[in-house]
Amino acid sequence: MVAKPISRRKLLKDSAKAAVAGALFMNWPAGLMGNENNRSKVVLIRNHRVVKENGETDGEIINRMLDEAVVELTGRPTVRDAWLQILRPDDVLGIKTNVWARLRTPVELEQGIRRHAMDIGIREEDIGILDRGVINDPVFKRATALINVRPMRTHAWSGVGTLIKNYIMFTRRPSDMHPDSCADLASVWFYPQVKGKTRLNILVMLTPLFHGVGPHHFNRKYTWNYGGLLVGFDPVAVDATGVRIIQAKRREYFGEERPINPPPKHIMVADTKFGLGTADPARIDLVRLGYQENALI
Amino acid sequence: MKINLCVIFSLLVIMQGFTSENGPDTFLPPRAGDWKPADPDRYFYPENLFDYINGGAELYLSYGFREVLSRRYECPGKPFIQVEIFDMIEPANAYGIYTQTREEEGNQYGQGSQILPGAVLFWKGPYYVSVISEYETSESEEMIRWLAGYIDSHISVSGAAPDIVSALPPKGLVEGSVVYFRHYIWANRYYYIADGNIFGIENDTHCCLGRYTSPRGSYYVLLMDFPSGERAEAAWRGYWEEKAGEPSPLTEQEGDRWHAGHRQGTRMAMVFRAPDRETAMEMVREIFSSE
Repeated sequence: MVAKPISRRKLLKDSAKAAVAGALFMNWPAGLMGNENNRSKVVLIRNHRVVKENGETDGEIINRMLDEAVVELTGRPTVRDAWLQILRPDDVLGIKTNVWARLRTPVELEQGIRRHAMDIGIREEDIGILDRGVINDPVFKRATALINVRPMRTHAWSGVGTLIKNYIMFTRRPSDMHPDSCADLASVWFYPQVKGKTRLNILVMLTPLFHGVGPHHFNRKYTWNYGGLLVGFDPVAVDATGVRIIQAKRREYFGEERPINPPPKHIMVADTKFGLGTADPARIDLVRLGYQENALI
Repeated sequence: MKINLCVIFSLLVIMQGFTSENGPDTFLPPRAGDWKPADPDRYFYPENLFDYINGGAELYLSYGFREVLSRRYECPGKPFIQVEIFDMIEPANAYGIYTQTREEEGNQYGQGSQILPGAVLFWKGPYYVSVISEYETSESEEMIRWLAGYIDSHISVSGAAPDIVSALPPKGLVEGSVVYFRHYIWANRYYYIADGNIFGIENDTHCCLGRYTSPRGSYYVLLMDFPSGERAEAAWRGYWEEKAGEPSPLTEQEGDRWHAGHRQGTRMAMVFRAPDRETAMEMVREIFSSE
């Protein structure tokens, strides 16, 4: 008998990547287009005091973290300059949040993004913050820009709840995305209401859920105070980085390899089939800011 | 006429939610200490379960699911307690869902239970029961246990775990690690095998996974009972031809770890990451020794 190594990741090689690559970013401001090396920058910023002892989020700290992250991400000298590179004063902005009751996007962060948008001149009535109902919301319907912000958590069917998955609410019937453990979630990013509009992706890693239990897939026991934000222009790169942290936490907690189950294949498929971004760590430039103890990556 | 039909239909829907003689509402107390039902009971069915447990609905649907009763008990100034009773049609399905949420085996409630901070989960007969508090206090912890005990004592039916589970050799098996399923995506729970459905696991395929201990770390056994020998044969050939390029009873992977497999009749077994070749082969022999 011939012993042969098993190929563990037979990825989708015959992809439609070439057909769609580039289409996603066509509405971006010119300053965000620089990706000539086909690499993606992801900023990990952490602060061990951002989650208070009572579990609430410190609004001042989290917005300071966001400020530092966007400055680093854009390479601009000031916070205002950074936001001016991300958004335009005449934009209509939809902030796609996530309000899952057990682990929602911090309200302080949503409001901080809104404040920055208004600071650069976007009118208050041209800013919407919403999770469910985006498809029919008047602001989201005329949005020229989207900011995608949500916490990362394991998920009973897609493996993890991600930035990619956060746009599932732009579908008429979210359950249509469920076959094959939500593999084709990235297709939503090419819907007319979404395509080319996402200016910033923020994956909230304050108290991520690394393992699920029970009907609602939640128990506080399986969260931990990581105190982080992952920020980037490429949602796939940000999600892929977040997954590495979740997987490392599972390894640490269970004391052995315990793959995320179901495998979060929608992240890899977003890269290989849809060309939405890169999931390959070798093509992700991870910049670390702030507190880095037990960063798990 | 159209209005009358709408009225009749609405009444039928409402009546479905009313107390029935043996319905899951009869398993619940009218109050739990100071906690009282906050709203009318809510029922969800396969077609609208997604509205209730966004995303997680697929897990239940993948087993077979009839309805869930959701009742919230509230008490001013104290965490609410959410009770859910899933009617999974048959005990095997309820057992399967339970195994998906279990970390350690417990026997305090029903036919198997898991107790976590703020949560009690158990199965009994065709029912999977979840009692969860909004957050944990000593009083709410006591109350969720009382509620779990009450529900347990009022479910008069029981049922057996699927036969395939008993085919896992007990020696070295980690108690509470067994997972029963009939959808391919759960095959990766302990060890990443593949993204796709390489075994051809469908709803008619009874599968279970178990984790085993050895001095050199965990290894895993996957058992699959197919409805026909042809399907088992296809799974066998499909797996080895994709993974190893040839039909083979054993192959090596990741240097010092061993995978083994065997098919006999309608059953197929795979051993993953065994510490050595002999352990892998011995496990296969033991699984099929009673066949």
